[in-house]
This record gives sequence, C-alpha cells and structure tokens, in this order.
Amino acid sequence: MSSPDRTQEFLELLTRHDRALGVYVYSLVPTPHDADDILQQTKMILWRCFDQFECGTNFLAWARKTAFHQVLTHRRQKKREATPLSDEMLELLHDEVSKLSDSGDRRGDALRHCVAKLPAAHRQLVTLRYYEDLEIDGVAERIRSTVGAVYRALSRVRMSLMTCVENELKLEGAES
Amino acid sequence: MKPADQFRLLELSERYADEKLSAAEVAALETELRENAEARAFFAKALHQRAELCFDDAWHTQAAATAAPAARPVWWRHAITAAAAACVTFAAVWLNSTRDGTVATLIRAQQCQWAGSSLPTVEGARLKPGMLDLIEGLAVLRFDSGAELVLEAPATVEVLDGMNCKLRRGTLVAEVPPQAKGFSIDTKDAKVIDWGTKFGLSAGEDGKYLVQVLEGLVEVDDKSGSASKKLEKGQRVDHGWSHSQLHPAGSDDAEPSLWQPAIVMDTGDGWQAITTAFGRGKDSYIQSSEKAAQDFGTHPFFRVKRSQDTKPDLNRKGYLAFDLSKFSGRTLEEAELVLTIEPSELGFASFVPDSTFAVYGVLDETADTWEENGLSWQHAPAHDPAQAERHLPVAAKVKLLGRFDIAQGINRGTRKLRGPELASFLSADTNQIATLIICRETNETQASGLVHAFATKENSTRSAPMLRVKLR
Repeated sequence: MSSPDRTQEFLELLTRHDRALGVYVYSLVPTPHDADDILQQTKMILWRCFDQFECGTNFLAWARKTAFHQVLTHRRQKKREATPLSDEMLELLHDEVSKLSDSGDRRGDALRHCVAKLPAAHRQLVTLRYYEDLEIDGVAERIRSTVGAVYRALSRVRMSLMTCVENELKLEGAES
Repeated sequence: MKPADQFRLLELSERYADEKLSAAEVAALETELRENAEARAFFAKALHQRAELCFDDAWHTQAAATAAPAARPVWWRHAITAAAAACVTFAAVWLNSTRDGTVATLIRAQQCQWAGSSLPTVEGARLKPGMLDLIEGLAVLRFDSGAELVLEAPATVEVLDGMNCKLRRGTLVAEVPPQAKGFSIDTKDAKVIDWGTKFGLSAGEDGKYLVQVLEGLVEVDDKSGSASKKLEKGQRVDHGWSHSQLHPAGSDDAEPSLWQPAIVMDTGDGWQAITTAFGRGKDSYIQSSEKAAQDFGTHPFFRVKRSQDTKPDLNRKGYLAFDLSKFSGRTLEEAELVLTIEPSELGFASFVPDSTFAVYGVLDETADTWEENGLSWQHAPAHDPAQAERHLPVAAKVKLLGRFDIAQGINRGTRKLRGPELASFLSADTNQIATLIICRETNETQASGLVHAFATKENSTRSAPMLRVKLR
C-alpha cells in the first residue's frame, strides 16, 4: 500500500476530489466543526483502506460512501443530536446530494459567478452569514432587522442563487 | 413544485442547519421529504448550496475581488480538535451539594488549563455543584436549564444548581434561552438576573463588576441596597471594573525584579540577551482616543488591539526599543524577540478569534528618540492617526519583521519571533537603539473584544520584552 506510486496516486485522487468531498459532508452535517472532524476521519480511513480501492473505478463515490458511514457513526457517538432527521432520511439525502456532487466543479463555478452578480445588499447578507459566519441573530443585529425577517430575506437570496445556478448550467450545457 | 413551497423548504433548510427547528417541525419535515421526492431533491439542493457557501471562501474572493476582505473567523473549526487534546484536566472542588446529582455539562473546552487539584476530564463531563477555576482557555458550560456560559480565563465560577451560579472572579458571556428565564449569576457585590438574553459579565474578588447586555433584558441587583436596574440591549453597568483595568495599580515594590535584569546576559553559547530594562530601552503603547494622551509608560504591560468597524474603535499598538550599544560593531548572526503574554481582563475573549500579531521595525532612526511618557495616538513613530488601517504602522516607514499567533482564550506563556528579517534589521542599526512596533492583525468579531497585553519592564512578575542575539 505504501509504495511511492500508490501514495502518489492516493494524493492525486484526494486532491482532485477534496472540494467535492468536503461539500458533500458539509451538506449532510451543517455544523462546520463536526463536518471537519468527520472529513479528517474519513480521509484517514480512505488512506488506510486504499488498497481495497480498484483503480479506474469512481474514487469520489467510494469516498462519499466512506464519509456517509462516518456521518452515521458520528451521530451515534454524539450525545447531542446534531442532525435530528432519521438515518433513513439521511441516506435518501445522501443519494440526492451525491447526484449534485457528481456535477463536479461546474456547479461551484456557476454559484461563484451568480454570487458575484447579486445586488450589493443581497451579497452583503450572504457575506455576513456564510463568510463572516454570523449567526442569524448576529446578522439581524448587524442589518438592524429581526431574526424572522433575516431568514426570509436569506431564503429569497438563496432562491435567486438557485435559479441563477440552474440557468448557468443549462446555458453551459447548450454551448458544449 | 410551487415557488411558495420551494421558498418554505429553503427557509426550513436554513433553520435546520442552524439547529433551530422544533421537534414537531423536524417530524413534519421528515414526513414531507419521505413522501415527496421532488421536495426531497429540492431540500438536498438547498443543503448542497449552503455547503458550497460554507465550505470555502472561493465565492467571496471572486465577488469581492476589489474590496479588502475581512478577517474570516474560521478559528472555531480549526481550534476545536486541538482544544480537546490540549484540555487535559480540570479542577472541581466539590462543595456541599445543594442537590444530589449533576446540574450542568462542560460542553466545550478550548485550550483549557484548570487550577488546583485535578480530576481528569474531557468535553462532555457532567458537573455537580462545585467550583471551577479556569486559568487558561475558553470553556462552555451548559446548565440543565438551557443557560450557556462561556468562561474566559482567568475565571472562577461556582456552579450552584441548574438556575444559579456565582462568578467569584473573571469574565463570562451568558446566553440564556427563553426556557431558562430567571437564570441568575451572583457576584460579590451584585446579582444579575437574566430575562432571556445574551450578556457579558466581569467581576472581581474586590466586588467590582461590569454587566454588558448584548441582546434582550437583564436585571442587575446591586447589593448596596439601591434599586435594581433593568438593562436593555447595548446598555451596560460598570461598577469600577473598567477603571481598575484601565488604571492598574503601579508596583510599590522598589526592588528590581529578578525577571528584569538591567544587564547583558551571556548564556555562554554565543547568545546574549537584553530586555527593554537595559540602558536606554523602553516600552509603552498607544491607543486611539479623542481624549488627551494618557501616560501608558508606567503600566506593567503594553496593550495591543485591532478594532475595526466597531464603535468606539479602540486600536492599540505596542512600542518597544532595545538599547543595542553593547553589540555595536559586532555582526548579529541571529536574533530572537521574546514577549511574555500578560493576562488581560479587558474585553471579552469570546469576541476575538485566534489572533495573528505582526512585529515591525521602524526604519527612520531619528524616530528612535520617542519617550515612554510622550508617546500618544497623536504623536508616535511611524504612525498616522488619519490612515485607514489604524491598527497598523505607516507602511512606508517600517519593515515587517515577522508574525506570531495567540490562540483564542490563551492568556499566558511566551511568544518568540526569530528570523533573518529581525537579525538584518538590527544589524542595519547605526544609532545603537532600535524601535519595534507590535500590532494585532486580527479584528474583533464584535465590539468589546479582548485587548491583548504583554509584560513590560515595569511588570513585577513577568519577564520584560527580551531580545536575544547571537554574535559572530
């Protein structure tokens, strides 16, 4: 397993799929520090079991499956219920998120493009929430609004981002 | 799917990720997602988009390519694993229980060290009534009532029961959900009763205290007998606390401290060391303020802070000068700056992430003549009170010599800066004295964040800023 070629191969695969794997885990585990713990654990297991991985098959799918198992393990170990949906529902969401994650960087690129096109006030909201990592009540305080209003405003912005991303992907599909 | 349903699911996904859904909402969501494949696909898409926004900053970098990016508080993600490992023991001196059983949980312990005799513990430990004495780090207690306290070292807290505790000394930030309304924190001279809110509290063994309400409503009951006060968001009661922090009692000890030798120390291996107490050495700091210049030269510490975009912005920068006359004519092969962290109880550590500090060398040697007691925000070397980056020196007048980090909640220990930049800066000196400026690059996440402090030569217990050099 630890032959230099094999190590090299592992690192290349992991690097190529690092972001997709990260986003996958963040989708199922919204608490960043839990997600980071799971990611770290997953990567260690991937490396340890790399000799079971058949070259030429889908590394990302294999990594996601491993990560999903870690998500379930993590939920069981945690006293605090981090993700209150059932294991079965999580598995169904795993299927859906996996499909999205297979569209690779195109979805992420489109999102970046769409965020850049947002009106300034909308972009500020996204920045406060996801870049400055403010809690919703922190955002409310900053823009002098209420928690309920911030959730609604954020959902509106997220909705326009979703529409924009789908349009971008469609356009791209039409061009290629 | 109707837009209204999409909209509703988006909001649910956001609140789900924030862990803000009630049990009933979760159950309804689960049923809807199980029965409706379209809703499930949309919900997954919402989670996936959120994950893309949270996972990295690429989208922000692109969107804000022209604007200067704010410091991103990713500290929590990275600090937490290390924290669990760093936190080895905690001391709990069990007092007479007012009740049987446990009343709270230690849910987080970041870079913690605890005083006194120790019981080994990990995050997740259940706490009975008793005393917690935190000397380093940040620890989060969740009472069974739902109230959460972030203890900021140094702090001593007595856990009484699910609704009561006593802050003997130190600082904490309390977050009290609606179901724990009435949660109270006792201090020597005041009792603070929370009516569902978030607030910061500092208290000393001498009875001084500070209450600052961040959200909601708090009742402060001063034990002197005056009527209790109701404080709303943004209001504070400062009963001597800030004054005692801002005007430290000078050391009465006329004896020079062992820690601050006014000599050149030769460690025998080619390395020699001096502190700011040697010769013409000096140390002080400046603070952005409309008020008249204050004399910080006699303080046993210098303070460093960046506070941008918050009001009032109180930026602070440290100034050090080392007397290099004993090394004159020699070539400095290597050099190392050693700073000792002084516990600072000014501001809330909860609002300042892991921080990076930068050390600059002042290029203009005529500026080296600054005096400890003459230094002010209006007048200091390589400083422009009007520049946008108020926490930094004037870029053209300094050379960056290096950076060091202090993790959130850390208030003890030393930091070393070593490198060719420092050695070459000192070697280039021609007037036998060199001025260094210490700045914090990391901004606070909200107003009233912690002010970092480092010992000066006036400190009677901690080592003054020290310069170690290796001569060729």
